[in-house]
Amino acid sequence: MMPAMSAADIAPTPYAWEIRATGLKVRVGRKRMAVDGLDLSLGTGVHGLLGPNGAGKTTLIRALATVLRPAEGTLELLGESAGGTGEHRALRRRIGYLPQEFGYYKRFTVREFVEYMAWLKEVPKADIPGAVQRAVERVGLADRAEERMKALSGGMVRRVGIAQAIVNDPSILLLDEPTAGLDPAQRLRFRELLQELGADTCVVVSTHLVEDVAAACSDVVLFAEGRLVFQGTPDELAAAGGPEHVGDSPLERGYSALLLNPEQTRGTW
Amino acid sequence: MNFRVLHIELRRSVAPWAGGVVLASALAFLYLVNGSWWNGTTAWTAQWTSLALWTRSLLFYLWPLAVGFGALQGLRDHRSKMVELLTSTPRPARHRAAVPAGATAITLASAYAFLVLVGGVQVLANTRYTHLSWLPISLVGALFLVAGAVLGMGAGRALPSVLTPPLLAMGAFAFTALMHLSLGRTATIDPATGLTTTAPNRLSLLSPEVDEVHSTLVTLSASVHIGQTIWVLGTATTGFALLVAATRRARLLALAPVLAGAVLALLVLPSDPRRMYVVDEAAAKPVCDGPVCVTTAHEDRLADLAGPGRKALRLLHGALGDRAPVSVRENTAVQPEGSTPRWSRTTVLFGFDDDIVADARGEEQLTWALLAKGLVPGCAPVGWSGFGGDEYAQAVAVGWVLGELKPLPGTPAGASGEVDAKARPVWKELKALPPAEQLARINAMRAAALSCKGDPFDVLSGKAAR
Repeated sequence: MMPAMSAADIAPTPYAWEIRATGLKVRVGRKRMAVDGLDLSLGTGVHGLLGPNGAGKTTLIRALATVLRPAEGTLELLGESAGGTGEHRALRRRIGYLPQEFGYYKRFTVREFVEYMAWLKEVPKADIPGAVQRAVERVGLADRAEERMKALSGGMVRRVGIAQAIVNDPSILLLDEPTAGLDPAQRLRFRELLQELGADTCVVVSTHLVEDVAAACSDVVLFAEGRLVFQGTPDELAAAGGPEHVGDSPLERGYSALLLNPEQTRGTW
Repeated sequence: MNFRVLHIELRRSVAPWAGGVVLASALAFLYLVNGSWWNGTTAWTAQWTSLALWTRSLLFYLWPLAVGFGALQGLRDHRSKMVELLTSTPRPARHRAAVPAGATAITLASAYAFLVLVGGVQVLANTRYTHLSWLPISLVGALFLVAGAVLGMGAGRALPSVLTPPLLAMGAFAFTALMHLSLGRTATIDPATGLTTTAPNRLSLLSPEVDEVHSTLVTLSASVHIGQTIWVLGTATTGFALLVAATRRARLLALAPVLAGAVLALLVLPSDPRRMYVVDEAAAKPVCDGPVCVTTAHEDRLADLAGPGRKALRLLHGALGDRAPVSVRENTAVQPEGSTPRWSRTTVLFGFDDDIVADARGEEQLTWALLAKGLVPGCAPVGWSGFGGDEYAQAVAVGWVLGELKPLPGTPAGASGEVDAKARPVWKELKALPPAEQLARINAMRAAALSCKGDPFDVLSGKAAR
């Protein structure tokens, strides 16, 4: 069952990009700029956010989720400025977010938890039961919906995390390491789901698994030391690498080639 | 408020546990411990006001429990690592906080209401005096529980550590204990008896607990209810503000309501113990059958008392003549603990909890008991019990009126032999005196007994220098 179309659904969007950052800086702690002057524009589609550990991926996603405030520069989400004070209530209703460390109430059942999150995301009261059922079905947990969260395996918990992220049919979906803990079959199913969602949503998936990007992403964003290194299609990423670069696949070789920048060798291991 | 979400919290949060533990432990405490809440006319199931006050007294540990459970609930987001996800949601924190707070309020208030209901059903069976002036006592009690839980939630959220709930519960318990034992009481020395007595002071009213129930007629004054309500609303507001606060500044600001509540409450709360615990005028209103009166609260016991009361007055008149009391009344004076009781020459004052009255079986014994109260009302400090000269004098005086020594009700088992051994020689000596001298000695004894100056038994035995 799909939600009924409303005038707002078919009206042209008043913005060119779902996510638009210019000169974005986000501070972590007192001193460190984890995102340090980022210019980025993302539209609908699945965007794979790649980068070495400590590159600032999680910080960027948290800023996109309106959890962290930009220190400098501008960040526009769905045409609205995400900087400054304010609750961003209308904006947050249209964001789905799976944090890297996904916490949950252990005593809740799957359905109760997703329902609770739908309520927090201010999904209209009448739509909640349907939206919850749809989200739970999409992650393949319909038969486990009445089980307590504490009885679930790590992979299932991750899928509940995805279900709560999509329960409000977000326009921006932010997934930080969503495939961690998923087994290969689940990962395949997850990639299909990503492609479905990417048709009308701006999905940002942070990952360190290059093969996830190859299989599911329409676009790759390579991120290192808080700055954009590369943005393009997976094919373009593959083309950047040559046989002389480290890696088992063309994408990995491209990844290595782009990061093999004299300035950035100081941090190797 | 979304009822489905409230329903989830009612099932999955700490709320059902808080309510269950509060109810179960309160019932266990009341039923398993044979304390003074089972005794006489002030038993917790005897009258509505006694029920309300005794159940309020239980808050000395129920309230710390509520605070602890609240803290446990407040810790949930942190323990579940949900903070990050919750921060990204559009619904305002106050909506989010209201649901578990509401769920806990519902279960705690229900548990407390059920506790009162369990007692209330028995009160209905035990007295015909039904009224609603006890209700504020219980309502403020329920408010205290709820506010305690909300304060605990706020504190648990502001100080997310596993140690917070136990430390907070212990701190709350220390607070109620201190308020009950030392900080909340002011000691005074009664000049008449030289005894040190303590009375609750204004500070003690910040604690949810109330003083032990000593009289059916005592209730809390309206200014206590108002002051406590202000204080409780202050704590609840601070708790909720802490639950919603996101910044250090907001947390500091959240402490303002509890401080303001304390200051305002202390301005409103009475400082004089006699204005905290007051006589319930409606309950104390006399209901009379001729010269015999009881309070409205004990109206259903008037029928049993009228006959013996009249008979005792007749006997006293025959024995004492014009100096005899002319009426029998249930004592409505509420004197502070430890003070010397005050008696009347013209009225036989008694209480249904006086050992001699409570123990009297049948009309005859009740008549003797009232005779004894009319002749030697007893001078043990209020709230104390003793055994000695007063009881011997009662035996002699009642024996003098009746013409023979009678074992009076209320004499402790095993002491009746001693009473007889002490009283019989004095009684015999008294009977041997000329009638005019007998009466003079009885009158002198009564004067001592009514004013609580000197030992009436010594007067009877002629030992007192007169």
